[in-house]
Amino acid sequence: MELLKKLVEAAKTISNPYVEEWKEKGGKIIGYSGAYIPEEIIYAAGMLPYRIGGREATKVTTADMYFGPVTCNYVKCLLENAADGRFDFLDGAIITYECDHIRRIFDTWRKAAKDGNARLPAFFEYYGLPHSRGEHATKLLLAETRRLIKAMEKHFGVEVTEEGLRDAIRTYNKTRKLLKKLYELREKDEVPITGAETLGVVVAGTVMPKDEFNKQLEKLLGGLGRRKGVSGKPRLMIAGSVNDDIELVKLIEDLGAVVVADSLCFGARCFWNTVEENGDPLEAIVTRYWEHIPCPRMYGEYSRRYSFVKDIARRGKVDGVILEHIRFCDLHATDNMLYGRDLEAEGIPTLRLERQYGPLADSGRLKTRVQAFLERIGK
Amino acid sequence: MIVAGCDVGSLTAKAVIMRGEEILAAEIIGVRPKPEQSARDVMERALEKAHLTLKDIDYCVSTGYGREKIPFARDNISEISCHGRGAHWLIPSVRTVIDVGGQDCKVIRVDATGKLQNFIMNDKCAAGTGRFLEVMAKTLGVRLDEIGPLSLMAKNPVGITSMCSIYAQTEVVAFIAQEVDRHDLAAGITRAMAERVKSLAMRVGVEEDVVITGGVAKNIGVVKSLEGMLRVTTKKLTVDPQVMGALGGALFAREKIAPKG
Amino acid sequence: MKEKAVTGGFPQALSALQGMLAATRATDKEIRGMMKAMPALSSMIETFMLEPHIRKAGLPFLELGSTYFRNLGNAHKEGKKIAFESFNFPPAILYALDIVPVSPEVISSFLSIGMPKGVFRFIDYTTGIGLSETMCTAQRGGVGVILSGLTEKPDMVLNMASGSCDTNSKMFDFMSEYLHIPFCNIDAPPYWDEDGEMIKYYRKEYRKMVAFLEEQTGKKLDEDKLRQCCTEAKKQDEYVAEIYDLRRAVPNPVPAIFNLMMFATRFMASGTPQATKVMEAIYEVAKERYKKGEGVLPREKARVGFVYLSHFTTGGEFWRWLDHNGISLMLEGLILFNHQHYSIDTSTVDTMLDSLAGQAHNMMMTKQIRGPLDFPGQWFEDIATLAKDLNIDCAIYLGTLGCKNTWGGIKVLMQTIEEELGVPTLIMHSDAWDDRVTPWATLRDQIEEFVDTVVVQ
Repeated sequence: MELLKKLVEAAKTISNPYVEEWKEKGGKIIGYSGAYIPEEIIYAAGMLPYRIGGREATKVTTADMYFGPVTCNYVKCLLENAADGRFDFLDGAIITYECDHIRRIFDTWRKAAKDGNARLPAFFEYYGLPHSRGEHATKLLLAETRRLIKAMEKHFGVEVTEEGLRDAIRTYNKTRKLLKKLYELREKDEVPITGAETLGVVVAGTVMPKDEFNKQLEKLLGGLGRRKGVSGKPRLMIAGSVNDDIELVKLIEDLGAVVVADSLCFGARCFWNTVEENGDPLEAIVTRYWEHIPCPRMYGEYSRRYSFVKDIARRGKVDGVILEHIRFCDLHATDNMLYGRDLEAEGIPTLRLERQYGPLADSGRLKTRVQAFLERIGK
Repeated sequence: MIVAGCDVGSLTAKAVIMRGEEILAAEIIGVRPKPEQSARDVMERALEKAHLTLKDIDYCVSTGYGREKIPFARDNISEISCHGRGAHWLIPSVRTVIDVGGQDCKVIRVDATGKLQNFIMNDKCAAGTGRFLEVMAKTLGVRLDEIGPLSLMAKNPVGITSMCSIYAQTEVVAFIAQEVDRHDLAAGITRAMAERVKSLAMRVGVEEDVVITGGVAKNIGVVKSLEGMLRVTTKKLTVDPQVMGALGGALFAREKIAPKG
Repeated sequence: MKEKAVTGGFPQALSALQGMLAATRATDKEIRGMMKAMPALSSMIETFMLEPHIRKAGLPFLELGSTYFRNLGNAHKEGKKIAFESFNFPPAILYALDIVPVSPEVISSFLSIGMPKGVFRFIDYTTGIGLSETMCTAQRGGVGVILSGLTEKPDMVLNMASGSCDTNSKMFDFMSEYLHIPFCNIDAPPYWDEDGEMIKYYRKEYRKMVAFLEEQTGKKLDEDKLRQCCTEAKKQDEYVAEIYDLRRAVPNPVPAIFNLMMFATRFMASGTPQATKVMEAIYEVAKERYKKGEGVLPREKARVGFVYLSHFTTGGEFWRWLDHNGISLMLEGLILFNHQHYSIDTSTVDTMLDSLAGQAHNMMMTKQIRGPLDFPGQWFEDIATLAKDLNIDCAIYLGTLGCKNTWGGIKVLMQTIEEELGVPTLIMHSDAWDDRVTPWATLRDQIEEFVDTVVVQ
């Protein structure tokens, strides 16, 4: 499928034809660090939200000058991409406190730029996230979001209007619904799209204009309806640390499985919940981002996450769940331990996989373990 | 029906040939630069021993680090499943296989039929693998195979606390300077080794019967130390523990031709 | 496979020791004798009792430690609830509600000093049940002790590390799920201020916690009891301020181990009269030494700012070595109570809750590593202010490999300190509660070399 191929290709690199086209037309691009940053406000400001990723980095030598030995390699690759100039097209970047690793990008990127080792986008902001849910937390986050919007408006000479936000909500909700439809196709006995391809589509969606993405998704869904599916292979689910690297899923699927479901932030967790289309648009946006399927950074919310994981596993009729975490990712490692306990208790086999992200990626080790897991689940 | 299993690791390559329930040959060699070469060479030796040629092999399963690169293997299976299967076939009461190899350490749980249930592997850190013993033997100035017997005669085993082999080495050097008895040092080394293996084993749980495979199974000091820590008596193998993976491969090959039930 | 009881005899031994010493008014010779007779406690004795000037404060401190563990052991017998709570929180409010605190970090630290192999086996225990070995040993040690069944089981979890530390918070999240006990998150907001939206948010979180505690215990907060605790907390803050001033002197008269005693006292028993006694003793000794011009031996050759932690493993050697090798421990991350940013007002329940919230909001770690390094009230500003005020020669980072937050920012922090404060820095790859990572001997040699070659002119 040509359309699918194009999307997957766009997901493999940092820059891509959509980004280039946007820049050529004089548009501004704002990078953001993760799923807790409300993209809609950037869209409403007429700029392209771009989720920064660690893919393409082939070394972490500059990152090692600024980060310690226990920093997540995904985050190091982010900084390395900045150092290697791959993010030079960004007119701005918003970094948030999703986790202790990624929040330090705000400090290290600035220092690297000060030292002449990386280019800092002209607009560089921190978006402060609390951790507790509740009325006062949502209020705090709302105030913080207003502050961010004002800073954007001031720097770029743009205006974020209520109508603009409503428009953004509609577009983004459409994306979310279309992606959900895509994921529903994967629940079928004959799976028309592989896990690797799906990740490609999801990642592509984070680095291209949503209006264009929605058009392509609609075409894709139509095309997949006619595509011959994969069946007779063990059906797997992946849950755990951030992953924008298609090769990881490919490695798993090449061993003779198909990934049909996930609980990932380049995945189901980032589009499963929609924004309320009634009421004050900014409040609706902030509420949705704050209340969506939580990342393990939200303490005391394990049961919400586990319900989601269990639900997704059952819908996908999975034969096993791979619980992966990037080394030093304590948030996911800890949750994975609990998921493993609870899923196995329900008769769903799990594999706990600690891995390295990016350069020095340990494919031999991973293959042995995944293969053994497939042998264990006996398919 | 003649089957074979070929296990190409990072340090050694093993081959086992079976006919029916009989092991016709089991060979171990040091690896060659290319896994394919290692496989051919070890297989050649085994075939020679069994007075056979490659054509006589009805099915060969490969395993180990280099398993994907063996041209004469019809299929490849993880060394985890193979070790579990091999050990279980030899001792059907086995439920936990602790494989301590030259460069990695695995703990494998199998069920009553020898099927893989759970596993854990350390293939990153030298501590708890044969590599640790090698480094320590050099530091102590003894042969690798002397460490075990030496450790059994210790009166006051030293405590080596460092997790990292590099620092452990420094500790041993310091003890040698203090003229600590060699037996006590050897016992400290085997104990430190056993601690690491035990730590790994705890993560998947240990159910009896337990068998220790891999090169380090030949080190009586580590075996005894580990038995004490796990409070079990391990079953002893009649076959060289290093060939467990290849044996498992041969057994899987047998199943491929004549599936059970 | 259960671990053999280790802490079973610990509180009793501490009590026996304290009783013996009080009764005999032990001489140095007697103390050495005791060390021989009780090898398991010999490093506790050596660290807190051996030297007369240390003993004056060490004795009440060990009594406090003994009380803490005894309370833990007796809590359920006395019908009290046990709260598993983070160390970086003054527990006055818990005492006001008759709740017994247990902090895993306190357990890890005491055992690291007192037991020959520290908490190594308990750290390994947590790995054995499936927790990542990359998590922080400060929690892992204590958690291993609790989960092996050596203490009473906690009844609830209070996470005060929210906002400053993911790893710490996640362990607490885990404990609640694993033990099936209720959880309350007390969140430090993403920025810091003294009197703005941030402290207002925190006050709401604090009150949320009080409501949770009242629900868990079925008791209502008693105004008089709260006032008692706040009054003591205020006295303790006054001592903190006085001791801070003494620190400025050349040589610094505050012995290194007093820093541990100060923060451990705050973590364990803030708001109790017993804690005030410890602070008083610390102050008296420091004042005496200041008058006599006494400091580290043989003489003060370096005034070191430890920007984060000290080193807790096995035996307390870290503090003793500093004191006898001319290195003044000027500041360490854990004693940054930041008393100047809040005050304790005992007028009404509301003012008292706000005061205690203010105290918690400004506790070290909570205050300065919650946001970007150079933002107001954050790590760099705190270190820079103190470095100038206390006349610091160099900055050293001792940490734990579990600390993702500080490891993620330390190189930038130290580079900034060198560039803007002109002070040499050293980053050590160590683990404060696990000597197996890098042995103390190696760290000691590195620090010595750094001080002698880079710092001392």
